[in-house]
Amino acid sequence: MLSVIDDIRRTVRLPEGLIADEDRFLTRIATNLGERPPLDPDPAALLQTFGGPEPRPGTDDATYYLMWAQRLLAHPLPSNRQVPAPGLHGMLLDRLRRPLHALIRYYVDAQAARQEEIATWLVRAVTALATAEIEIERLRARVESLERASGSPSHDRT
Amino acid sequence: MSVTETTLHWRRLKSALGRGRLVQLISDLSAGDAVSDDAISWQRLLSRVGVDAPIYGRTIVPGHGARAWPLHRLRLESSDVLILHYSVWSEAAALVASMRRPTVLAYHNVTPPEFFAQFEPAMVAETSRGRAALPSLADLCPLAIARSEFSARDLHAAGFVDVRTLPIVLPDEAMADRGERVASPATLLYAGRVAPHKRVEDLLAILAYCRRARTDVTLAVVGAFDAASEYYRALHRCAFRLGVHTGVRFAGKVSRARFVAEYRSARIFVTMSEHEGFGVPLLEALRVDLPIVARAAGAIPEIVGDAGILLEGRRPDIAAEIILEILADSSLQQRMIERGKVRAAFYSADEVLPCLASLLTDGIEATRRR
Repeated sequence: MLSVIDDIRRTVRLPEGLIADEDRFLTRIATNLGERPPLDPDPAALLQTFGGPEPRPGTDDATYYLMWAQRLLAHPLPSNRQVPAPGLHGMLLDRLRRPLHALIRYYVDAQAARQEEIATWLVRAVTALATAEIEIERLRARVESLERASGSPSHDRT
Repeated sequence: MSVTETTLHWRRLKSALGRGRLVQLISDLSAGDAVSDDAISWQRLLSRVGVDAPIYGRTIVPGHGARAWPLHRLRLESSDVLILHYSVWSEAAALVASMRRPTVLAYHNVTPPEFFAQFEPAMVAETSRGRAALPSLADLCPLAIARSEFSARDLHAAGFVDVRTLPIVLPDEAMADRGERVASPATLLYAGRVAPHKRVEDLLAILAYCRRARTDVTLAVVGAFDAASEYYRALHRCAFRLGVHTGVRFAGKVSRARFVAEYRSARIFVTMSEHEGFGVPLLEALRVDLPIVARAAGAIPEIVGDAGILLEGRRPDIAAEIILEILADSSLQQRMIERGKVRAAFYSADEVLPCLASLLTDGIEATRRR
C-alpha cells in the first residue's frame, strides 16, 4: 500500500492547501485503485500499443464502422442559410465579391467533409469485410493443403 | 494598473507608430484556431484605440468577422510595422525572411515534429522547418513576444536576444454567460484540436477507468478533427476496444455559442496534452468555473497555477480516481472553482492589455531602430 501511495504522490501534483488532509486523500485513492475490478483490455496497456499494427479486422469492426456511418446519416446538417453582412456597404460587398466563395466554404465544404466521413466509414466497413473474406479463403486453402499433405479425407465444410 | 496609466500606454503606442499600421502576418486565418483568434483579438483591441492592425495570411477562411486579406494583396508602406504570428513555417514566414524587414515575432510555439511522426507524416516537415527556421528569424526580429515562459525558452535557445512574455488575451465576451448553467452529472470536457500531441487516447483510457466506478461518466471532445486521419481512426478503434464508444462524443469544430454551451454543461475540464504553447482552453475553463485536471506538460502548469490538479506522466488510472474524487466532492469542486476565479483574473484583459500596449510600443521602436 505504501509503495502505491508513493507512486500516486509522485504522479499527482496537489496545489498547496487545496486538500486539507492530503495523506488521507491519497490513501483513499490508493484503496480505491486496489479495489476496482480489472478491465479487459487494460486501458494502460492499450495505450502502450496505441496506433500500432492492428489485428485483422473482423465483423465487429465492420459493424462499428457501419454504426458510425448510420449515426452521421441520421443527423443531417441544418439547412443552408446565408448570413447577410451588416449594413448597406457590407451587402454591396457581399454581392460583388464574396457570395460564391462564402457559399463554397460554408456549405459545400461542410457537406463534402460530411460525405467524405460517411464514405470513409463505409469504405472501412467494406474493407474489413473483404479482408476477413480473404483471410477465410487463405485459411481454407491452408486447411486443404494440410489435409492433402496428411492424406486424411476431406469433409464437408459448407 | 490605473485607467490613466493604461491610457498613457496606448498613447505612447500610437505616438511610436505614427501614421503607420501594425500589419499582422499569419499562416492561415480561421476563427476558432488559437493563433487566428489571437490575431483577431489584437486587431479588435487595437482598433478601439484607433490603431489599424490588418491581418494577412495564405488562406482566409470566411466567418471570422475581422479585417483580413490573402497574403498576395499585402502592400506595405515604409511606416508600417510587421508582426509575424508564428506557430509553423508558412508563406507569411517565408515572406518576412525574403523581405529582410525587421519584424516583431509573436511566438505561439511550434509543436515538436516527433509528435506527428506516427500519424501525420506531412506535418513532420512543416514543424521541423518551423523549428529549424527559428534561429534565422532571430536575426530579423529585434523583439519577440512569447505567449508563455515555456515558449520563451525555445526563443532563448534559438538565439533571440529580447524575449518578452505576454499571455494570450481572452476577450471578456468570449465565454460570456448565456443562460442558466445546466451541468450534466458527470460530463468530462476536453476542448482543442484532435491531434496526436493532445493525447486524446489517454482521455479514452481515463474514461474507461472512470466508468468501472461510475457508468454515468461521459466525455465530450470539442475541437476540429480530420475524419479521414489515421489518428482519428485509431481513437475510434481504441474507444471501441475499451467499450467506451457510447460514452464519448466527438463534437468537432462548433459555433461559439455551442462551444460555450459545451463548457457550461460539463463538470470537469480534462486534458492530457503533452505539448501546449499556451493552452487557451484551460483559460476558457477557468473563466466558466470548471475544475481542471491536466497533465503537467508544456505551458500547462504556468497557466493553471494552483487552480487545478496536475499529473506527471501517463497514469490514466490515477487520473480517473482524482476525477472521481472531484465529482463526488462538491466542496472540493467549489474550492477549485474559487481558485480558478483568482487565476482567471490574472489573465483578464485589464491585466494583460497595458502589457500588450507597452510590448508593442517597444517592438515598434526596436524595429524602427534597425
